[in-house]
Amino acid sequence: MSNTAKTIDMTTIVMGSARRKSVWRAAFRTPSGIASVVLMTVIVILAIMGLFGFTPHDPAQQTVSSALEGPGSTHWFGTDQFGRDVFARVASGLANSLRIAIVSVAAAALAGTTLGVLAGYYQGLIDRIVGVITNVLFAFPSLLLALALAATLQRSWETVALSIAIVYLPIFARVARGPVLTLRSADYVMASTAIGRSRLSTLFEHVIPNMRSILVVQITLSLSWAILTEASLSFLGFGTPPPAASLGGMVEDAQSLTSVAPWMLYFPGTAIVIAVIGLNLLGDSLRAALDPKTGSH
Amino acid sequence: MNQLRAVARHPVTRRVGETLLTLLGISILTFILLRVVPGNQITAAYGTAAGELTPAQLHSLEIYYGLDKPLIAQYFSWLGGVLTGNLGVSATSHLSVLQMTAQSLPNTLELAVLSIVVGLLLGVPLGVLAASRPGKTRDNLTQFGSLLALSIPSFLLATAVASWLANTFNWYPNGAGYNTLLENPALNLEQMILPALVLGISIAPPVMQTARTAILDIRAEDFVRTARAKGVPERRLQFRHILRNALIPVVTMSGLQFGFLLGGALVAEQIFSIPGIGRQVLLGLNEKEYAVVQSTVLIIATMFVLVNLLTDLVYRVVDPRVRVR
Repeated sequence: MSNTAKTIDMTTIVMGSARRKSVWRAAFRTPSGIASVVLMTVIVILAIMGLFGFTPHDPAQQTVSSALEGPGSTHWFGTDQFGRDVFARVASGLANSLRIAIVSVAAAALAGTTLGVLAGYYQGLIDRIVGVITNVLFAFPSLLLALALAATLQRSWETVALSIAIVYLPIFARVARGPVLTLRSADYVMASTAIGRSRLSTLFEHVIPNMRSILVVQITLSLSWAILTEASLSFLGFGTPPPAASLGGMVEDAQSLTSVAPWMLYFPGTAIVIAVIGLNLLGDSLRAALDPKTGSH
Repeated sequence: MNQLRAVARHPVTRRVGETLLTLLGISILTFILLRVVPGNQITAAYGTAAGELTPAQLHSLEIYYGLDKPLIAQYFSWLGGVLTGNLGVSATSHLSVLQMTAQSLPNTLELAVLSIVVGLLLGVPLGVLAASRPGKTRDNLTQFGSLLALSIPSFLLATAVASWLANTFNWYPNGAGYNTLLENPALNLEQMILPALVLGISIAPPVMQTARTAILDIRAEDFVRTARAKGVPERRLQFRHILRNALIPVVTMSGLQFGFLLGGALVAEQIFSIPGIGRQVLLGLNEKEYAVVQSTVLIIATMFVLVNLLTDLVYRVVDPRVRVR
């Protein structure tokens, strides 16, 4: 995908809160909606096991005597070249991926939406400045910018999350600005200012609540890109620093050992793909359910 | 005077002005990137030996690199150097960044072009297939395939494909030294097949979606109905009238993938040992040659912005409807 954000048709915003419950129900009734719930449940359970150490083995425990063992009853997913349990490492790698994805997307969504809303609502100078910032950030291929940022900062999971957040910030700024432009001239928003409400309280009471559905979809899709970016950074050696497990780093380790220990590639690889498919399906079903044009069939 | 004002308000002038502003922002961001590097240029140049420098030596080096001046002065002296073509020199290879880029950029561009070709060859027929029966099995299968292709990161696909071919067929064309297209065309193409395939697969989904939507839109247009009413044979209608028009947004879409390809090239070039511009960035980062990284990132972003500007301007010339806006 290019930098261009998957934006949602602006008609989405006419959906009021009254229909929100049925929208959620509709989203999870389609085959892809059901599939997304199943896949995400698997991922979240694994991530929770990894996060709280509920795995049968310690992800960092090295046992040289059992290095490169195939999948079996003791080591479900086999072991790596240092005898570390691949299952435990996949689980804690997933926890790490999700943590970075959630933190970075939350930061990008908060900062980006704020900038986009300010730009669209107040226009003028703010709009121009935000425009330049988004143009500049969009000028870098996203992986390259994330890499340059992550490499210059002190390596830790927080700086990786910060780098990804900066890369995705302009997407949220752009996604939020459009609907605000339409909403600010909507009758009920004008009515609110006409009865003497301040612009700020109108913004919070009438404009922002109506953007919720757009943001929900954008956040879901961004989570999947953030997971891909984090994995790519770790693969290139600039993601989460070792010894912490990261899915991209595990694929990198497996690269030279695929002929003797293919499981080192299969399991972390499958985990990334399942997480990304799950989030993509979730985003697509939410979008289909929220968009009146496609929601009908 | 009025003419001057008209020129200043002209959309093309505005677009160029916007691009210049973006380029200025890019230069500031890349400048800041180097300044926040742990340590500074002295550590970058002298490595661990920087720790053994006496305070006096350190001070004179700071003056040498201009680090004692205020940040704004440093920025302008750096920008002045960049604009006159002084993008820095690699300490390991003793080549200037311009020389390095002159060698690496053609390889990346070749890879980008081949990847777009692969993306089109995969995406367009699949888009046609999906559009032939919208909402039916073949459409759903193609959609699922495109979701899958979008969800597999290129580094994973590249690793899996390369290791499968190497383990099963003992075929790993990229193990030997890289050959440019001019040195050895046959070997070069053999070395480019896998990376172009991997990157092509990741741009096929957007190409396929664009083709599918465009075909469905154009099929519903009046001129298609007119042509059919006039008795244009179905095959000719499908290819000459529908597909040909549908290819316009598809070509635009693949042009938009240029930026993605420059980023994706990082991964593909690394895995398949292709000495392109992405690898130049990665090697620079690994060797802690931050000047090389900074200049290369600047070159890539500038190229991307200029390509976008060019696309816009060409569109204005080609499509009169855009000019009116």
